[in-house]
Formats: sequence, C-alpha cells, structure tokens
Amino acid sequence: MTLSLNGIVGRGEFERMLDISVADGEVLAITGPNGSGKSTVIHTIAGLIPLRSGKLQSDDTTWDEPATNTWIASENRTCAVVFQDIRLFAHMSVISNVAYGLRARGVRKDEALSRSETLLARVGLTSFSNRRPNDISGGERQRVALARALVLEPRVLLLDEPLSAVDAASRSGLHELLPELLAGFAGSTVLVSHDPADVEALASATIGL
Amino acid sequence: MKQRTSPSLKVIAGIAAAFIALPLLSILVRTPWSDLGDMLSQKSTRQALTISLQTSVIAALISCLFGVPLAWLLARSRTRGLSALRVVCITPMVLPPVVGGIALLTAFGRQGLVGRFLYDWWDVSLPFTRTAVVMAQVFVAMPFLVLAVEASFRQSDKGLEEAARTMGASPSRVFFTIALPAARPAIIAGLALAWARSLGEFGASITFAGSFPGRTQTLPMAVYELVSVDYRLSLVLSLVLIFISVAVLAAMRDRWMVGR
Amino acid sequence: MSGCSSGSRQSSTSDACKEPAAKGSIVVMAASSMVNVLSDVEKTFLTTHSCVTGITYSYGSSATLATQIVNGSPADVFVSASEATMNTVKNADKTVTINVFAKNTAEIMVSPASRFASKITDVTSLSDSVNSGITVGLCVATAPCGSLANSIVEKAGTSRNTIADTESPSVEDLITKIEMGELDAGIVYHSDCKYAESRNVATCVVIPSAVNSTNGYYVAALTSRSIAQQYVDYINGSEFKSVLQSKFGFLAP
Repeated sequence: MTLSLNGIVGRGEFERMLDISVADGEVLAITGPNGSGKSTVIHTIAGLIPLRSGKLQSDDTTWDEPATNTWIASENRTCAVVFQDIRLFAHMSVISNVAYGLRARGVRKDEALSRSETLLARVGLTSFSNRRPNDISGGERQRVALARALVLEPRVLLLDEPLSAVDAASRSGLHELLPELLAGFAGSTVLVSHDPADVEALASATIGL
Repeated sequence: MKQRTSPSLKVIAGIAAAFIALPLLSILVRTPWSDLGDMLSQKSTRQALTISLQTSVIAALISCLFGVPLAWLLARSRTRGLSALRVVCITPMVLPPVVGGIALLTAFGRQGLVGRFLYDWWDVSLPFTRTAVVMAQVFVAMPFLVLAVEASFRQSDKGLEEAARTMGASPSRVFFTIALPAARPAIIAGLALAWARSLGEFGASITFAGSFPGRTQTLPMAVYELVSVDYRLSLVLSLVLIFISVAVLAAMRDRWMVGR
Repeated sequence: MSGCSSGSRQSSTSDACKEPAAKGSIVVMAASSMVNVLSDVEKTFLTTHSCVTGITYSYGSSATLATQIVNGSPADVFVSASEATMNTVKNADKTVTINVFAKNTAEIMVSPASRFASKITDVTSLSDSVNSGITVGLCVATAPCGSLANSIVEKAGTSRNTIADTESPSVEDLITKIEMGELDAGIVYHSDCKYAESRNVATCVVIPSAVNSTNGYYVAALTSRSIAQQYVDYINGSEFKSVLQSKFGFLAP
C-alpha cells in the first residue's frame, strides 16, 4: 500500500531527480521555494504530465514507466487532486461538483448524491448542496474541492497548496479541518505547502526541493 | 474625465455609418406599406419564405453538429498540418459564393468527383434538390460557427478539464460535461451567425441547387428574379430579409465578436 | 454606310474614318442567345466600319438587361430576344430606333451524357411521369426563352411545374448546365442547340411546329451617336441576316 516515484520529473525546461515513497496513512509534505517544481510533482503523480524517466507506481500497479512505454491515463489512476486554484465547475451546483467523479466512474445517481451529502457534512457544509460555486466564499469552495476528492476514496490524495487561494478569514477553519480529514484518510497523501505551520501539523515526513 | 472625440473623426465616422444605414433605410421608405399584407401572403412569397426558413435552420443545425467537433479538433489537437486544415475550413468565408457553388457542382454534381458514383451506383442526383440548397448553405455558413467556437475552446480554462480528468472522467465525458457547457455562449452565437448566413445565401445555392419556385427557390433568389419583373414585390421581400438579419444581430448584442 | 468610306483606297491599314469626330467605341447589351453570332461577326464589322474602334458586349437575360438600361446603364445598342423586353426599354424613353431583325424557334437540347438521351423524343417525354428521374431545366418565365417555353409546354398539354426541375435566369446558364451534364435536357433556342450540336456537346430534338412557338429579336439604338446607328444598320442588313440564318439557324423576321 505504497505510492512510490523514483525518476526524473520535468515540465518544459525544468527537470528534477526524485525518489519518494509514501505508505498508507502517511502524509508526505513537499516544500521548497517557488519554481522548485512542487506543482510538477503533483501533476506528474496525477498523470497530467509524464515522467521523463524512471518509474511511478501505486502498490503493484505501474502508473508511468517511460522505458517500457507503460502509461495509465489520469482518469484511470486511483488518485484525486485538490488544486491550488480550487477549480470547481461553476456551471454545476455544489453537490454535482462533489458527485462528479463518482458519476464519471459509473456510480448510480442516487448513491452518488447520498455519498456526496455525507462528505459535505464531514467538511462542514451540510446545507450547501444546491448552492453555486460562485455564490460561496473561497474557503467554502476549497472545502467542496476537498469533499469532491475524498468522496472518491482514492488510494492517493494530492493536495497542491490547498490554502493559498483561500482568504485569511476562512483559513483558520480549514486549518482545523485538514488534520481531521487526513487523520481519517486511509491512503497515501502528498501535500505541497509552503506554510511551515501546516507542514508541522499535518506531515509525517517532509522533503525539500 | 470625459473623453472628447475630435470633430473630424466624428464626421468621418458619421459618413461611414450613413453609407451603410442609408441604403437600408431607403428600402424602408420605398416599401409599399399599403400592399404589404397582400404581397406577403402571395403564394410565391410564402413558398420562398418557407423554403428559406426550413433550409437555413437545418443548415445551421448541421453546421453545429459537425462544426463543434471540428472546432474542438482545431483548438486542441497537436498534430501537424492543423493550421493548414484551419485555413481550408475557413476558406468558404472569403470565397465568392458562386465559386463555392461551382466547387460543389464539381464535387457532387452528376459528373462530379463524388457525385458520379452517387448517381451511377445509387441513382442519387444532388443538384437541383432541396438537399443541395442545404449543402450550399452549410458550405458557406459552417466556417462562421467553427471560427467562433474554436476561439472559445482555445480560451477556455484547461485547468477545469484537467481537474475533471483527475476525477476519473474520460476525454469524451470531459468534452460533454465541461468543455461544451463552457463554450455555450460561443456555440449559440455561432448558430445565430450560421443561420443568418444561410438565410442570405445566394451564389452557391443558385449554382448548385438551381432555382425553382416551391422547390429550391429561396428568398434571396426570389428577390433576384423579381428585381427586373416586379420591383415593388422585390422591395417587400428585401425588407423581410433585412428585418430578420437585423433581429438576429440585435438579439446577439455583440456576443458574436470573435475572441470574446 | 454613312460617314465611312470602304475599299477604294489602297493602304495597309483599314480605311480611314470619314468623320473622325464620330470615332469611338460602342457598348452593346445583347440577349444571351446572340452571343455566338455577334462574336462571329465582330471582326468583319470592325474591319468594314473603321469609325468604330471597339465594341464592349454585355450579355444576359433580356429582362435583366432591360432593367439595367432603364436604371441608367450606359449602352449604345440593345439587342433583345422579345418584344416585351424591348417595350420595357421603349416605354422608359430610352430608345431612338427599334427594328425586328430575326426570329428564333425552340428546340430540346439533350446532354449526350444523359442516361435518358435515347428516350427523349418530344416535350412530354421531359416529364418525370414518362421518364422517372429525368432532370430538366427551363428559362425563368420572365425571360424571353422562358415565355417561349411556357407557350410550347402548354400547347404540348403539360405544364412547367410537371417538367422543370430548375429555372435558369438566362438561356446561357441553361445551356452550360446541359453541356456539363448536370441537366438531362432543356428547352433552348434552335440556334443555340444547332451551335452546340456542331461542337458535339449536345444533341437536338426537334419540336414540331404544331407545338412550337417563335420569338422575335429586336435591335434598338439607345443613343444618337452615328456609330451606334452604324451597328444597328449592320444588324438590320442583308449580310448579317445571311449569317444569322444560314450559319446559326435563326429564322427570317
């Protein structure tokens, strides 16, 4: 039950050698200055960017190995991402956003909705189902994004600077929520953050780029 | 601070606007308003109007059905030669319509490259049919829709599509649930433009589909024929065309400007 | 031929124009069915009429041309294929002189590529009920060749609606489509059909005189320039008549 990446990640001119491994229940924090490639690592694990060389695997499944032409597309990887810029679908309601991944994977509508309602409650947005992303605050939007990722029960959870787009007022609420959510999460977590307090509070291991 | 436009600029702009507005207003003034009802209810008028509306709506819908995927390909694909494909697909916009008609005849006429097989093997003769009218309209109108929608797809937030994929959505699911809804304003604008262009189509249609009242004669063709025969009726039909065009543009209120 | 000498002086170039002040070029607007014969005689005319330095032709449907003339299109001569269209111009006070100089009758022109070629024998064979799937064109009713077709079609006991799949604004357009093979057949002028047949691009089926009709060709001077009148005189002259009738199949007026 481990996520491991051993190889070279790259995007454009940027390249970086990496060797990481994250077991179930662990939270690996990746820190470093801007431009050091933290987002690139997230995007590579998520399958949005290919590895330059090496191997990326989750448990016994190889997700990406250029040498053997092995590649599993993003939509087929058991990982979910919470993006720095949140990326909720503005033309759908909150509950539809949360249920999106489940519906994409073929879950029946009523089951998807009920599981989504449960997650919304867990992130503290019980009555928000029919609200629209543009009508709620930044902090509330990021909670929806967290619910959207967690409802999929992924093996790997990727958090890319989850608090950077959230206003100061909402940040404290999320500061309390995140440890709770991660504690209850069974899979591997990779967290990118440059807030030392968050890293301190959440991470079981840290790597600096 | 209030911006002051120079007087000479206003004069030049005024002349330009007047040049375009005057002919349109002249039709309004010269229209035989008292006989409008009679003329509009004439059989030939009703026939031409029906054919025009039927064919232009179908042409707009076909343009949408095929044009949106084409716009998607042009906006997203990374294969080489795509810019050449784009030029080819947009060409009908700048081509003289009658040249488009000749081209259609050369391809789909009974002696045409493809048309000869349709005729020899399946007895299908396309020229001078209502299908040919729609084909001519799609040929000239689809590029407008493709252009508008491609611009929208290019500008759309790819981050949202990435997010959808990480949630487990296949590329086609991403297209239908994320990309398409985001392009909706452009698609509607493209539809309206394609429809308006189809309605006004003359050169390609008369060359490829010919003209026969009740079968293939559209409103613009009827106007053309009437100009030397019943000038007053041609004014009335012209008025109808102008009215529809202005109504479509007004309803879209600048949303058709490519790049928005 | 007033004003210009011909033939008596020996010189390597054409004879000089006797009224240099009248020298110039003319604009002739003519019905489409005149295109072949007028191009044919152009060189002869210019050689024998040295006051005319050039001729600009505008061909089209007589109805369209008449409208253009009435709306002010500058032309010196109008050659129309029907009395009606000439009257349009006359009633707008644009004509100086008018004369009828030829007649034409109609014929069925058949595309050699047509699969119905051998089955087209008369006007009734042009309808879908006799030959299913046949594609036929007629001139628009408002053009001279179209009104000619109308009277023929009525006399043959059928209708425009039954026969035609498309209407052409001019006989030129109709002929092109038949030659291209996009139409199986059409009702055109005998002169046009004969010309096409001589080039092996079409075959002609005669329309019996009981059913057939004729239309008259009219020429009018639109300006009082002497060179315009020279052209009109030539059109009305015996030399042109013999070219029209023996070479191109037109009939005497």
